Amino acid sequence: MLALHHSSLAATLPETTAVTSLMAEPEAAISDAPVFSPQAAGALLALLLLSPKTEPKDK
Amino acid sequence: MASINASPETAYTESVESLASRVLDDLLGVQDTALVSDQVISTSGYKTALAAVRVLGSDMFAPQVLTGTVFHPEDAAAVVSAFQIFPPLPMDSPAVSVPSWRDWAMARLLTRYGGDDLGVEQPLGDCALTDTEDWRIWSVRMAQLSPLALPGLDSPIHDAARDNPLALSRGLTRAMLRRDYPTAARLVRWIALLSSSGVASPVDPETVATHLQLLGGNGARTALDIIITRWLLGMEWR
Repeated sequence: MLALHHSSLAATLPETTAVTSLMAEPEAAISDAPVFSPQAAGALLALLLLSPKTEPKDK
Repeated sequence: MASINASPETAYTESVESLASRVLDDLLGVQDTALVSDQVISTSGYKTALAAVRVLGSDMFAPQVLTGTVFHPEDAAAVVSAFQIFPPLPMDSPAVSVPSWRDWAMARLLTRYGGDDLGVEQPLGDCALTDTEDWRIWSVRMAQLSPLALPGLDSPIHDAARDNPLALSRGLTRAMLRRDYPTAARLVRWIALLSSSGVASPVDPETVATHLQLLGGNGARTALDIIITRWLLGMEWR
């Protein structure tokens, strides 16, 4: 049985604001999709140049 | 359970996830007690438990809508208490739109499934929620209103959804590209509701629902949206 002591449990403004905010939850602030990073081009080129040379496998 | 120093929003977020998990258990036939039982209240606190009721909203009634089970009298009492402790916003409040529509939907389902009439009316003159000129903003609002995407509810919001499957599909596609899977799950639920009433959309909701089920994470609220979507589409959902 639920105890009904509403007069002493009325939501405060921060609590009401929290409920209202959670009802109107915004979309994710930061996308998890990969983003273009021009600074990475130099690092990628260096990795390609420094990677060990391997001969293609004969099929 | 959230620490005693956690902000209300943090504690309420955890409580909402917990309640959504119990709704899922009820849907799957695992839960056989009230969703907001004394045990739940003793664990999370009375006010936090009722805050979760307010936030989850009409999704608490998913087992009743989807499977026809009886809404537990303790849960009906909890909904009434939740509205008393967290009353609806005044209609002239600037933040009224989304919470007011969600309140209306929950109150309507409470009455339908044997609870008290809370006297919550539909918001009037809410042009922002039916203005689809900027589909990105509009689709995010529709995602926030996903608890209304249940069979048996009808409103100007549902009219706007039926009239704008393209905007919903664009919002869904954008959410998927951004990997914002909770938002995507809420939007595909709308598209599934449209599909169930014969309204076609450019996006295949079955494919999206399957993708989200595999890659959408393990959040209970997202899982609940996906199960409702699959039920609406006639897919295997248990």
